[in-house]
Amino acid sequence: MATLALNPQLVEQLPATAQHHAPADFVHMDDAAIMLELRSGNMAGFDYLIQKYRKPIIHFMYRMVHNQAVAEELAQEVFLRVYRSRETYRAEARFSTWLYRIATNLAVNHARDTKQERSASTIHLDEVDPETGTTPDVADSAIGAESEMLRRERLNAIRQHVLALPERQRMAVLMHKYEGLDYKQIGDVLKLSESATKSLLFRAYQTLREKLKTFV
Amino acid sequence: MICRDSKSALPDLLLDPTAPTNSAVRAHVDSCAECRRELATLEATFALLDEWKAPEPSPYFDQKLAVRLREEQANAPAGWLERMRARLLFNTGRQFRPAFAAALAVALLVGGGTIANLSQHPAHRETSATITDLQVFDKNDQALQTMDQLLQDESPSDDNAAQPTT
Repeated sequence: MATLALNPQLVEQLPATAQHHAPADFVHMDDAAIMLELRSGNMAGFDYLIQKYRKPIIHFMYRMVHNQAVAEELAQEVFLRVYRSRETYRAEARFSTWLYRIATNLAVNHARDTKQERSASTIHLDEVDPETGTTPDVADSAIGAESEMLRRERLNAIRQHVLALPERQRMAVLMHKYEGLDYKQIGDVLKLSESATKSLLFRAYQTLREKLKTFV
Repeated sequence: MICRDSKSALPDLLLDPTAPTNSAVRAHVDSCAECRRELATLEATFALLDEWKAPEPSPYFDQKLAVRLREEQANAPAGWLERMRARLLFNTGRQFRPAFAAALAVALLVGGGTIANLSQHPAHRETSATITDLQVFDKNDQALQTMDQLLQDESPSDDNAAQPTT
């Protein structure tokens, strides 16, 4: 596991600071408590949080912006915001909820900033699909080519219809379906009540079922 | 349970089929073919959504983040304005609740006081202690005068008795 404890002075100071925990201790610690350690200068705790949440946040961002490079850049920005906010962080909500709120804000801002640049999804025959690692083959006599085409079409439809959902529904589905957040956490991120979150998700899933019924 | 209620609870049932809170929906679904079909299509849609996989983070993610963090550490700490902005954007807003409660209490006190003052009628105004004292003195004075008069009424016989006979 790569370490991100960047400031050697901070590392040197670790043994002198009684309340600082060793990296192995973080597994048993609450994320909020680790954030409080970061406030007091323990970068090892921050490394642990990055390793724990980088994949879900990158995946969340990827599904929001549908571009891996942009998703990773935005995910880095999320962790930088966390680092910058270490002084003002308050353990009012779960750390993951706070993290997803930052991610959601950044993703929405990015989507708004690049609204003009984005156009209807186009399939380039000479470009490798980042998800499948293959180039589109429209005519192939190999066995399974047809099923592969169908699979790709299905995947494209899923992507398109999830991305076409209204902003809040889309974010709720991504957090619920793909990140495994519960209603309360999603409600905290989107500043909605639990019942409103439930109803938002229900509408989103109903829409998706209608739109994707040809593939079911 | 009716079908409409059951349909709104289907996503719950789908995600947590064994939860005790979903037992009523489960019972309804078991007995209703329409709702069973509805659940089946939802299950199929959920399964379909699973096909959308996100790629693994690139091997350079950690390095790039390390560089950006190093730059961040070299930078001056964020100013008060930037910290406030971050707090407003990303927190739950719970820390503002005491301030809101205090503002509401002040508003109620000021508003309530104004209304109480406006609704006060002059006829109901309470008399001050000085006026009450003066009223008491006045009453005492009247009582003394009455007593004097009564004494005067009794005195003529005495006066007559006192008059020297000629």
